[in-house]
Amino acid sequence: MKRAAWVIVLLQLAVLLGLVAEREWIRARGDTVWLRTAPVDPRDLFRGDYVQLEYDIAQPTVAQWQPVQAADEPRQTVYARLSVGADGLAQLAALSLDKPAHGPFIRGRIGKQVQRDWRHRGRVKYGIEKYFVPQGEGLALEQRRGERDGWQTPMEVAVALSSRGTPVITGYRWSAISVRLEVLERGEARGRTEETGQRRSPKVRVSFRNDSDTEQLLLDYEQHCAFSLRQLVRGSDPGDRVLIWAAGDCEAPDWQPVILAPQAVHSLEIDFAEPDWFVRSGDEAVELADVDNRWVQYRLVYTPPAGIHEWQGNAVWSSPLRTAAFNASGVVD
Amino acid sequence: MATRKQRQWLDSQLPEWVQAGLIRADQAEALRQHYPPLGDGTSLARVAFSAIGAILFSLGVILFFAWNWDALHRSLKFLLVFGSLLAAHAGGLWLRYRAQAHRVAAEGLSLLGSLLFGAGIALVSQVYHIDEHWPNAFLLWGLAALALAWALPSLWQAGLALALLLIWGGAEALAFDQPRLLAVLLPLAGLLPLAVWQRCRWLWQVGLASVFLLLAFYLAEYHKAALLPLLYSLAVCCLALGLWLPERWQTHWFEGKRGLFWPAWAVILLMLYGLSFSAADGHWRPFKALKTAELSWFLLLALVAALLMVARALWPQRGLVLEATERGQLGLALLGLLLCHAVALDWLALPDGVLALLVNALFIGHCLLFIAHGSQHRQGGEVAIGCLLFAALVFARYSDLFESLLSRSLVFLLLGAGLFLVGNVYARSQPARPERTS
Repeated sequence: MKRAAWVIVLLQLAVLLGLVAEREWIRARGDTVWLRTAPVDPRDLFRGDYVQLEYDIAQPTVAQWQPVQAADEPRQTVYARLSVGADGLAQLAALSLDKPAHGPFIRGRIGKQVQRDWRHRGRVKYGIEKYFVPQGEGLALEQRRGERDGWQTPMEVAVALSSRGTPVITGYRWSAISVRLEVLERGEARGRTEETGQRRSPKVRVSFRNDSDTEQLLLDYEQHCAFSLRQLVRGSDPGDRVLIWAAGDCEAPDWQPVILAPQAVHSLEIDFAEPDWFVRSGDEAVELADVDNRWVQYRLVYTPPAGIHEWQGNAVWSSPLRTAAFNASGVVD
Repeated sequence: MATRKQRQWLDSQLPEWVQAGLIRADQAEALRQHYPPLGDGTSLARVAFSAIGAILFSLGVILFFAWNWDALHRSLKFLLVFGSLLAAHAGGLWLRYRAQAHRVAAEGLSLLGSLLFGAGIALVSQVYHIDEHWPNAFLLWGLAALALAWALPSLWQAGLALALLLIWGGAEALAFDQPRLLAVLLPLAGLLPLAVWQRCRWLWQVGLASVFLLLAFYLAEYHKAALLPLLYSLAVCCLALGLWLPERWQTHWFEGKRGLFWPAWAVILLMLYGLSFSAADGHWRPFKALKTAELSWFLLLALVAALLMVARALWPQRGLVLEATERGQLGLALLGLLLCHAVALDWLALPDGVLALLVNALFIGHCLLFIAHGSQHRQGGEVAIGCLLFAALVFARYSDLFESLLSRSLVFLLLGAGLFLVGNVYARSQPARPERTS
């Protein structure tokens, strides 16, 4: 009995040391990538001694969700293959149920038992959604990350990855560019169209601020073709998910550089009532306000041009920038 | 052998008997020797203080690291927690095997060690910012305590394991809608045998009740239609098994049939009480969805249980005498069993209201028999349970059965009068206290 008791005690210690050893190994030897956190969703409350994190790679597009959509396990393991940009920031390249053969990837879970809150369905959990901080420091982090109607500065988290895709957070930094979304006119305030009597779509202003000490360079088109609306995937049934693009002559872009000096701000207004902006549902193109689901949310996403890393000798901002989520009426989350 | 209560009563009465001249002092001593005290005479207070102290100390450790002082390097944090774990366990083992007079202190230190294991898991998840499926931490922690409960052996560790495994099973079922069969099997195979080995009544009863609870979670998610007939059948099986226990098993620690009876009655009465609501709302439908083929196993179980009970009633073993109230209770249990299966198979084409009436009648029958049996045997606990259950039913029906204030007032008048009567009957059944002479 005495020997058995000692064996159990040493096993307890071995289990703890094993957990520590695995994570230390990943920290020391794993590939490190930077993951950008999504803009603050005020409904994820700060709960004391840790900051709740949500990653851009946890919010797949409709196309990215397709390969794992049929998964029916309550807590299905999925693998997110990552593409790493010049700035070290990783983006979600693809989701799959099978472990990728090459490239950096991170292991996550999806399913009903992973995200019981319906608002979080269709998102991937990677097990690194909490960042523990000393008591009292969490509020400062939350304030730096921003609020619903104010400037939001994405937190970028350094993550070491094992060969099996196990992630370990090793640190964080702040994005050089902060984003702000302001709703200039909500749909209800704009009344209805005379022809059809349908609701009008909202009008918004998107602003970018350079928080770093060096110049930042963005590239945009005249019709703002670098911007698109990404619908947030909810649940496992894609239903009539759509991806919205700005119309116009985006086939032959005329790039216009936007140079942001340190602390400079660049703003642009987007009116979703204009015909340039539409929602594609099947073969039909409708106005944003005509999407018959008030619960669907979108983010306006700036996507830099692929393959262009330099512009007239200056480094181009190479990772997407996302605004806070809002719905077709212009209500910001 | 005598229970702890009986021995305490004897210790309190012997001096009076000697003083009254009923027995001599040497006879009193002989009686004390004939009924030795249970266990090692450890006081409950010492156990409670040690256990609470261990829990609070470990909470303090957890809170200290939750403060997350960044000036302390993580390696030092690990050293502190893991070192404390090892020291607590080492101290507990040393006291247990070398200094056996300090059994309580040994248990307290070992408990502290197991609690620090949980603190270690929390610390690792904090340092590495792990946000995995959190019930897994309770499973790991519970398994560690369970292993130690067997290795030492220790009822303190068993209690901790039971609590942790209940949290794990409950979290999987309620927080994630994914109840695990393992949550049922672990207490069944890991804790109940330990209770038998260590002759621990509370571990047996609480463990058995936990098995029923976790099984209910599992069935409610995956086989809702089977929940009613299976749980009821299992409860009646427990009653039947209790009747068939050999006489030598009817010792004080297990109290024979009581060890099986009380968890079974708890299940039966809770189900009847819950059903009394469902019947009113027409919530019988999910329970009628069981296919005949699936039900065959439950029917077989129910049939075996019923046969065992009837056989024991007809051929009682030596020393087992079933009184009228006990026969009545078992008869009502059999009726309830029949009703559950009839409902599940939809044999009875009765309106929901009639089913509700039957369920409520069964429940009231059980309450009255508890009161009667407790009054006859001067078991205040049984009388109190019967009265409380009856009152609970009346309050429940107050809200869903009667709309008129007059009806409600009548119900309460009847309830009050009934309880008053019960109290008088119970008081009369108590022996008169002898007058103290100076």
